[in-house]
Parts: sequence; C-alpha cells; structure tokens
Amino acid sequence: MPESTPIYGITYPCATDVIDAAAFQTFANDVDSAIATVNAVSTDALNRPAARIINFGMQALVNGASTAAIYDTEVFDNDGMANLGVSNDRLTVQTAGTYLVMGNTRIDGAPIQSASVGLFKNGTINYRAKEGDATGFLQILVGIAGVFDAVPGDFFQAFLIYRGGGAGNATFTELSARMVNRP
Amino acid sequence: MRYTDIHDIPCLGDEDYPAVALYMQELALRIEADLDAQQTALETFLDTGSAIWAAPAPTNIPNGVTLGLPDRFYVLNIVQNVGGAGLDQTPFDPTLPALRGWYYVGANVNLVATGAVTANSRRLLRLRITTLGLSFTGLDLAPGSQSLATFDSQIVTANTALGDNLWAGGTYFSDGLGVYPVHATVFHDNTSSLDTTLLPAARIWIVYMGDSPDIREVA
Repeated sequence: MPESTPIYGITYPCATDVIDAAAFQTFANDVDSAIATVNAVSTDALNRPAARIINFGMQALVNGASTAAIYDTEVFDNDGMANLGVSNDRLTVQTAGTYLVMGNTRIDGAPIQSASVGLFKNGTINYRAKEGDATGFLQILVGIAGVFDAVPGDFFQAFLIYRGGGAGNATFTELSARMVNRP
Repeated sequence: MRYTDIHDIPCLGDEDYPAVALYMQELALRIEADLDAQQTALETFLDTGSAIWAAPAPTNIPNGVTLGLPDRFYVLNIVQNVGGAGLDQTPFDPTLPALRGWYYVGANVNLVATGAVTANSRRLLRLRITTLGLSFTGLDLAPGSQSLATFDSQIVTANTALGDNLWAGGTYFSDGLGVYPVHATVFHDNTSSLDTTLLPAARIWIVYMGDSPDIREVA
C-alpha cells in the first residue's frame, strides 16, 4: 500500500507494492503540486498588495472645510485597490492585513495659514498632520503615515484642511498603501 | 545510494535497484524537507510584524510642561495589532524587540488648546528610540541616558485653538542586541490655557521591515 509524506502528501511505494510507470507519474505529480504550493507563497511574498494614486491637477479647497483629496492617476496597483473611474478619492482593501498608509499634499494659497492632511479608514480619522499656523505662507507641503488593520472592503482616504485667506488649492496629492503584515 | 552535490537529493547507485521503493521514499522526504524550509522562510518574511498603540483622549496638559508617553503622559493602553517577528508587544510598552533589522516607527498626536492661545506658541512631538533605564530632564534626556534615534515634529507658530496635529517618524536599524523603548514626548508653551488631546489622540506604531539581506532596492 503506497504511503505519503506528512506535509505535502508526496506518494511513494512501499516494498511490497508494484512499482510501475503509474507509480512514478503519481510521485512526479505530487512533487509538482508541492512545488506549486511553495511557488504560490513565493508569489505572495514578492507581490504584497500595494497601490499608489496621485494627482498633479488643481483641487479647490474651501477655507476651513475638511475635503477628501481626489486623484486622477494610478501609479501602481497590484491588488485592485484603486478604481478611480468609480471612486477617485480612495484605496479599497481587497486582501485582509495590516497596511502602512501614506498621504501627502501640497497646498497653494494666498496666503496660507495652515494645511493639514488626515488619514481615514471607512470615514473615520486615525491620523492627522498639520503644518504652519501663521499667516504668510504661499505653499505648504504636509504628509502623514499610519498603520491600519483592514479587511476586504475597508477603504483609506486622505482629507485635507486648508486655512488662510483667498482661494486655496491642492496642487499635488498622493495616497499609497502597502500591506506590511498578513492577518 | 548516491546524493547530489547541492541539496543532497538521493539518486540510485548500481547496487540500489532492488530498493527502488526505499529510494522513492527517501527522495520524497528530502524534497519535502527542502520545500517546507523554503515555505517556512517565505511565510516568516510575509509575517514580519507590526504593532500599534493608541491612547485615550482627552488628557489635559498644563502649559509649559514636558510630558512623556507613556509614563508621564498617558498610557498607550490599546494594542490594536500584534504581528510576528518578535513584536508580541504588551500594553503600555512600545518597544523594539531584540531582533536585528530595519524598523519603521511613527507617532501622531492631536493637541488642542482649551481656551486662549498664546501668539506664536510652540507645539512639539519628539519620538525617540532609547536604551533601557532612560530618564528625562524636561524635554531632554538626563545624564547617562542614551538616545539612539530622535524624530521631531513641531509647529512653532501656533495661533489658533483649531488643533495642532503632529506626526514624527522614520526608519531605524536595530542591532537586535537588546530591547529598545520607543518614547513619544509632547511639549507646548501655550501659557494662555491648557492643551488637551482630542481624537485622533495619540498613536505609536512600529513596523518591522526585515533584516538587511531582505531589503532590496528596486528601480
């Protein structure tokens, strides 16, 4: 009666078994399956879910209002997190895990008092960074990074707050997410 | 039985043909051992480890006082996630484990003045990786205490009570020879009122990125 290895189930004959071409084929197929299993893990390791979306266009911001940053360019996405044609303000998690999320923006105004960017998951703020709080800035760059647990369907957004005189515009926005841990 | 040069995979010698069954068994077990070692290494690489500590809010901070996280400010008492690679963290104790490699650390705090704001007053968040036995003298370290890395973020001209959100962080390569506390300290010199913390109140997070052989530069 053939036996098999304990982890991958590679079948091999025992001394009393008939060893024919079929036995060798079964053996080869089992080895093939084991290699495929390890290759799948290797593919996971080399392709952790990650995405980055950006926008170099101008996005008008209302003084003092919290506004979701919008994006028009998908730089990288190996897990279908970005779908800018449907929702141009977010990355939606497809694979459960812990994610390192980063948001950056450049805000122009005349003049700017302060600018901030916050990282949200499912509409709730988790992290926020602010620069400035005095009059006279013409441009402020501000960024933030944070770590989130997420499951499929969760979505990350960056919300911008501009305070100052006159019109304020985001002239660059960036949102990226990369899985750093499996669940 | 003979063996290949690199992975010691068995192959039949002239004297072994009566023992084909034994050969196939040994071959199967050797292939399995090599594949299993590779899979274990890959899964360890995938599960590198991360941890997040979150603090409750609000906590009032008297003006001009330097307060440290977690010991003199408030405890970071919610560990939202723990991962592998030695990052089995306990509450109240943001620490790099005794594990050699690159870490990405960050801290975020949201300070809000409870009343009037002193013009052009300062808000500072200082994230430090230190040796054990650390003690503070105000914002600085006491003699004999050693800081291994410091990441600062500050607003030097705070003028409103609309919130001052600070985040500081960066990468650090740990030699893994000891566990190293990760401290966050906040400071403000708003003498017109207290500052307090509002949601998102304060967080410290650590992500283990891997040992140096695992760090690759890609185009």
